[in-house]
Amino acid sequence: MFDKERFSVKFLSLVLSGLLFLTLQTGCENNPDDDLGPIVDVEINFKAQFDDELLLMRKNYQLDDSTEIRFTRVSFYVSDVVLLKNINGEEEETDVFDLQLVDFTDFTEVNPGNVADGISFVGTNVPVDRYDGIKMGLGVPADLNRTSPAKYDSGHPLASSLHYWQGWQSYMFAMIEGAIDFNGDGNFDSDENFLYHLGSDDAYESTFIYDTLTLEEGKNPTFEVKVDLRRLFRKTDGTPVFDASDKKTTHNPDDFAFISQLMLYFSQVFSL
Amino acid sequence: MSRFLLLTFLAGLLFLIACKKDDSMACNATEEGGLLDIEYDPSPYNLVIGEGLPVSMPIPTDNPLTVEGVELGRHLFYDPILSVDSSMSCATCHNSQSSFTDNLRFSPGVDGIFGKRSAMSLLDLGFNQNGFFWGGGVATLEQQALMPITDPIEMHNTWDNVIEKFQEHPSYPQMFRRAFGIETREDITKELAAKAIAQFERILISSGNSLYDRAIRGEYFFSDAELNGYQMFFDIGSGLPDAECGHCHNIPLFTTNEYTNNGLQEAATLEDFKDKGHGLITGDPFDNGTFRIPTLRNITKSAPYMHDGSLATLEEVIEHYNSGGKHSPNKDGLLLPLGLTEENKRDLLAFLKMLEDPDFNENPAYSSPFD
Repeated sequence: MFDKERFSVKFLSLVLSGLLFLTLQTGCENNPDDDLGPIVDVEINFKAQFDDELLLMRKNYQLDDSTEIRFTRVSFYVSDVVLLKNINGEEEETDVFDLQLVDFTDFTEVNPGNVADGISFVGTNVPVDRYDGIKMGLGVPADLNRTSPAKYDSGHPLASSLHYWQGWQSYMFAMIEGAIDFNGDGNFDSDENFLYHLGSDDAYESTFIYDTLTLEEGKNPTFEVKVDLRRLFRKTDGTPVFDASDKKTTHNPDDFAFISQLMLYFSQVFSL
Repeated sequence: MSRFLLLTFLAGLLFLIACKKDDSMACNATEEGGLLDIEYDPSPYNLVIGEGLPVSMPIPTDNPLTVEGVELGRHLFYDPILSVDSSMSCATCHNSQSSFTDNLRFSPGVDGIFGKRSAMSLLDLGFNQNGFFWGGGVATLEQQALMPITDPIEMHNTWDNVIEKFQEHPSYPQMFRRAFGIETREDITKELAAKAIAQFERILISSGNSLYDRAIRGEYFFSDAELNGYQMFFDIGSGLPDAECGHCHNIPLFTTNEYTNNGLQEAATLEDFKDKGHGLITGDPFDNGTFRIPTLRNITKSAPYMHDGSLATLEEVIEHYNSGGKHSPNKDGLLLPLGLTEENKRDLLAFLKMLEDPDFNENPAYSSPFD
C-alpha cells in the first residue's frame, strides 16, 4: 500500500541531502585554502649590522677614518610583509605577516643577549613556491596609523606608547638615536647627539629586496634580513648620505621633507 | 586489654602534643570549625578601565584579580602590622590622598632612617611592564611587594615575623582562605601576601576623567593657556616652542616607563653619578644615573618631584627642563635649553594641572578599610 506520508518524508530528505551536498561542494570550491597546495611557515630574521659586523647599541663604530658613531636606539615598524613572484612581468604578492615592531635597542655591549640570533617573526601558511623577493612596508599603514596605543592589548606592537607621537597623531615609524663625534675630539659631546623620529602617513615607505627565495614542502625556511645602519649615513663609496651634522634631530611633521627623505634612505639599508 | 588501653592512651597523648604545639595552626582549622568550613569560591574582580587609558591591563595568569584577593590586599596595604613595630604600613609612604606618595623628599622608615629616593606614585603601576622602583630593581608587582617589609630603612621586619602575625590574626587566615584557598593557617606565605598586595595595587588606576581626558573627549574646552600648554607638551605645530615633554610622558599613561637620565645629576663620567639608578640593576655604565620615567597623571598631588625629590614644585620642574639640565655623558639627547618664556611656562603649568584626577583621589575603593 502506498504510504503517501512516508514517501513525502523520504522525498524531502533526499532533496535536503542533495542541497546540503551541493552547498558543501560549492563552499569547498570557493575556499581559497584548498588551492594553496603545500604550505610552510616562513621566518623573517632581522639582524642589525654595521657593515659586516653585528651592531650593538652604545658601542662605538668607525663611520669613517676620523669619525666615530654610536647608536643608542634603533627600532622600526615593518608591515604588510609579502613574498614577490614575477608572473609574466606582473608582481604577485603572497602575505607573510601584517605588522611587527623590530627593536634592537636592548642589544647592548654589556648585555648582548641573543644579538647574533637577531629578531624573528614567523609568517604561517605560506604556499610552497619559488619566489623572487620580499617586499616590506616600513611604518604603520594609514588605517592603523589612525589608531593609538590605548586601543591595543599590552604586547601588541602598536601598544607601545614610546613609538607613538601625539603631536602627529601618528606612530613613529622608525626611531634612530645615537651620537656622532662630529668634531673628532674623541668624545660624544651633548651637542653631538642625533635623534631621528620618523613618522606620519606620507612618510610610509616600502623596501624591495630581490633574490630567489625557494620554499620547499616540509621545510620551514628562515630568511635573514640585514639592517645595515652604516648605510643610513654613508654610501658604499664612503661619502655621506646626508649632512647629519647639519640635521641632528627631527621629530616634527613640520620637518616633513627631511623625514620623508630619511625614510627613503632608511628603506635602502635592508638586504638579504 | 591493657595493651589496647596503653595504645589508646599513647595515641591520645600524641594527638594532644601535636595540637598543643601551636593551637592556632593546622589542628584548630578543624577544631574551630576552621578554614575548610569557609567556602573558597573567589569572584573575578571587574577592573573598570577608563576611556583613554590602555584597553587592558596585563594580569599574570597565576595571580588573577579577584574581589577577595583585592580586599585582602587592601587590608594588608593599610595594615601597620607589616612593620617590625607595627608603626607603619605601605600607606604610610603611599598615601591615597597624595596619589599614593607621601609628599616628602625622602621617607623615614621605622627606625627613623631616611631612604635615598622619594616614594613613587603607585598610580597606573599595573600597566607597567618595564620594572618597578625608580631603578627597575624587580620585574613584577608581586616581587616589588615583598621588598619594603624587610628593607632595614623601611619596615625592617622579617617575613617570618609577619607571617606569624597573619596566622594569629583574627580575620586574615579567613581572608587568605577566601582569596587563595589556603587550608590551614600554615599555608599563609609571603608570596600569597605579596600577590594580594599586588592585586590591590593593580586596581589603582586613573579614572580617565581628568580635565585632560574630558577635553580630549570633547566634554571640556581647553582654556587658551591649557591649549598652549598642551601644544607645547606634545609639540603640536602651533608656532609655540617644543617643550619636549611628550617623548617621555606620552599618552595614554603620560609615561613610557623607560629609564632615562633627565639631567638632575652632574657627572663628568659615567662613574660619577651619586645615585647610579638603573645602572645598579643592569651593570651597564650607560644606565648609570638613569631612572624610570614616572607618570604625570595626577601630578599635582605627588610633590616633591623626581627620584630624589629635589624639585619641590611643578614650577621648579619646568624651570629644570627649560634649563636643559646638568651635564653628564648620557644625559637624554632631548634635554637641551628650551627657551620658554614666562608665559610659556605658565601655560605649560596650566596643562599639567589638567592631569589632576579628582575621581581617583576620592575613590573609596582605594581608601583604608580601617577608617
